[in-house]
Amino acid sequence: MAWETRNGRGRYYTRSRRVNGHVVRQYIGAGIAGELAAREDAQRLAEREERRSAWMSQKREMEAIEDLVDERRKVLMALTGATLLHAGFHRHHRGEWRKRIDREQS
Amino acid sequence: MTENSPSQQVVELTRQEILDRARQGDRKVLPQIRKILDDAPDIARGLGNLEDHTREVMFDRTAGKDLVRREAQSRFLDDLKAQIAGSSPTVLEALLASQIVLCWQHLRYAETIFAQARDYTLAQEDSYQKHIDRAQKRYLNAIKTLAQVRKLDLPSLQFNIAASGSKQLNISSK
Repeated sequence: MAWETRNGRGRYYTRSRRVNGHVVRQYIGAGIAGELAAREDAQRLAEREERRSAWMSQKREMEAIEDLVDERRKVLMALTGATLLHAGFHRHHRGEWRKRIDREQS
Repeated sequence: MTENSPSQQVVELTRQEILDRARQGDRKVLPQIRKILDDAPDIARGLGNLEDHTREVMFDRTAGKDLVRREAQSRFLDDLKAQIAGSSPTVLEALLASQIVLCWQHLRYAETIFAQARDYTLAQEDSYQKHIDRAQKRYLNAIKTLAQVRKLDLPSLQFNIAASGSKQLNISSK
């Protein structure tokens, strides 16, 4: 969207849009028609930017909360592993936890 | 110049690295684990603080300044935690029960945020869905971990809590 001038004969407003992969520039006009279209486009752009900004803020908040939950999960899983090792369990092929059998005693 | 022996290398690991190795079942870190478990009240307290903080952040989003709603949600989560933990949970079981409740709250939060969202693009919808999927996976894993720990029937674990200048307090986990 832009105001353009050709050969110093006043300015006119155009819109660019993509049609079948090509950018097509649409002539809107000078004067009141151009002004209205420019205002409409500016408002649409501002709304889009507001939505994008709100989404980014939402996304950051979601990620921050997820990080907190995940941080606690990691520490707790490590503590669980430590407790199980301490109690004589081991991870069978890095999978389930099993009680270690002392072969010398058995 | 002498090279460090494997045991010396283990000594130089940070607490997080030791805990990560313990999670993988590495028995070489057992001596360090014993030391860490002696300090476990620190970790348990840290986990408690982190839980409180995370809960509050989510309350801010789901209940806002509405104190009645906040209090109702808080009580509901406390009841849920008590029910999951059971009548005489070990320290570890209590921590795992609180993790289940935290993950459940997080899942509800993720679903609520998505339900409230307006005019989202396909990419944003995908992002919301992935967020919910991860929350659900974390919640189910938390349940599974508590079930495993209960099935293994761990022997009692005693934490000694002694704050400076205060009386020693022994908490038996079973």
